[in-house]
Amino acid sequence: MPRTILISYIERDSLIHKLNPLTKLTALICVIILAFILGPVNNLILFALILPLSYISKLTWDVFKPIRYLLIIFAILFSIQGLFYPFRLTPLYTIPFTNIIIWKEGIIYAAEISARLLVMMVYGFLFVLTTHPGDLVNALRKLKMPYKVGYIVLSTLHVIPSIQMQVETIIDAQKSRGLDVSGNIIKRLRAYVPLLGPLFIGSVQQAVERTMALEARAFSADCEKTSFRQTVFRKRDRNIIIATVIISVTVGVLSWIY
Amino acid sequence: MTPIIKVNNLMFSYPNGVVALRNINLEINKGEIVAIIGHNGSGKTTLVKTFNGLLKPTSGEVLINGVSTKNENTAKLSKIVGYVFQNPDDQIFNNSVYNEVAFGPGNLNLKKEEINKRVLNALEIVGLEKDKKMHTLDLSLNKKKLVTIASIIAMNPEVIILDEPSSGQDHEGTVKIEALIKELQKNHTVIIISHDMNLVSKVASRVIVMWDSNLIFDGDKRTAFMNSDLLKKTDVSPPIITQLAQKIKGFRKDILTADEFIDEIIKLKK
Ligand SMILES: Nc1ncnc2c1ncn2[C@@H]1O[C@H](COP(=O)(O)OP(=O)(O)OP(=O)(O)O)[C@@H](O)[C@H]1O
Ligand SMILES: [Mg+2]
Repeated sequence: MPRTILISYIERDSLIHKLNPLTKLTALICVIILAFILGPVNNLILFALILPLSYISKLTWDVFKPIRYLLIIFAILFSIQGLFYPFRLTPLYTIPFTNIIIWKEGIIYAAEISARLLVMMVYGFLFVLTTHPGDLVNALRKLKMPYKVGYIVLSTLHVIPSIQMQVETIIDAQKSRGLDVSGNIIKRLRAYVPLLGPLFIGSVQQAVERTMALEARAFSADCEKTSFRQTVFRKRDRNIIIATVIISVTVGVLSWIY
Repeated sequence: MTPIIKVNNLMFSYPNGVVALRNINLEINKGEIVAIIGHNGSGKTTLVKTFNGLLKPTSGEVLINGVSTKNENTAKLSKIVGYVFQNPDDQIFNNSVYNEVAFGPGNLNLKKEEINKRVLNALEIVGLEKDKKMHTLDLSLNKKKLVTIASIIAMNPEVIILDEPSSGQDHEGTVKIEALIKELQKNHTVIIISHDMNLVSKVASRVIVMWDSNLIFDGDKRTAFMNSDLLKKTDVSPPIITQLAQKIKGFRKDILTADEFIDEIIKLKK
């Protein structure tokens, strides 16, 4: 039974859930490209647009939950770039009683990267949370992607939650035999390190077993595969793709010119 | 005397909202050997995981030697309550059998020689002295279960909880487990969770029946096996010999062993 899963599909009855995975994938790629073209302010506007989208997808706050993991990265980005950005020119602030200077260029650079990360992260999550992995693989296969590649995509999406569950199980086993991991981060890390070996060996063994289980159910059979889940490409999918591409190109070109 | 485990109005629900335990009250005293039975998903594993603090009560309390588990961590409680996981693969994470068994005592601040002594002793009790260098992945399911039991014995806790010790065991394995439990009983309070009523009738004296997150029976095993409504509800059948005796007119309905059965035959003949 799943306990804490980081990334996974959440079933809801919403317009965004019902879109073809390829439509959502195209839109995601457009957003990622835009995130690289746009400056920090425009990226923040792009970020704000996630609000109506997550409202429509009936996910409310789930899309924003992963942001807390980004906060640490932001903190590191701002402090390192603020202090050591190579093209520093303008001092922004001198920490009192020291000669440590925070540089304007570094802060701007950090803001640019952070805004990009923020946009990619939330839109990426919106995609993952609203798209059933099976549907994604199905849709990709309709584009003539080989079945085996589809399985690789699918199993990769499963790997993260499954490893996370394994780690938790092993920690429970360790705690039950007297390993104290409470509070102290160093202690906790030290408990995690010896796990890597068994975790890796366990994953390989699982993969071998899964291969046999798949073959026992005719995974490599040389015939047309059918699927239980159906994905449909509707007219509105076509329209949304065209609209997204046109809007993205326009916005991209405009921000390039100005 | 304070009971070694005391549970007051315990309720527990998992983060996803499943209520796994409702209003549980029980006491387990030193030296007892208790069996917890009940259908799949009735809450047995959840219940015993609250005993060593892996799970904390949503409401109510669990007292170990009179101290609430609320502010204790599992590492500390594991010195008193040893829990052998239901699925050995959830418990085993070291490469060699020796290291697996040594992990627990290694956390007890013991000298190297003492750890070594305890590991060898535990392996001897479960009969795995010869396999101490084996890789844990190469073990049969039988032996994996024995390794998990040895790894708890090596910590020498007051209470040993065995979660389905005979599942996945062949006949020989089950007989071995039965003897092992009787051995453990000499120095420990033992709690077993089992679907195997033959095993339960042979080793336990007291039976706790879980049904749909509730504790619906707590008492003598004979009373439990005579209560056919109770058994039907929890989807277990009493030991074969008990079932047979219950079908014979004039026989006692609470027969549990072959010897008792023979006594009945002799009595009836007279
Ligand atoms: N980690 C978990 N998260 C959510 N629900 C869980 C979790 N573990 C167990 N449950 C649920 O809690 C209930 C009780 O489960 P538990 O494992 O305690 O039953 P059990 O009596 O040990 O069953 P079994 O005989 O199959 O081992 C079940 O409905 C189960 O699905
Ligand atoms: Mg269980």
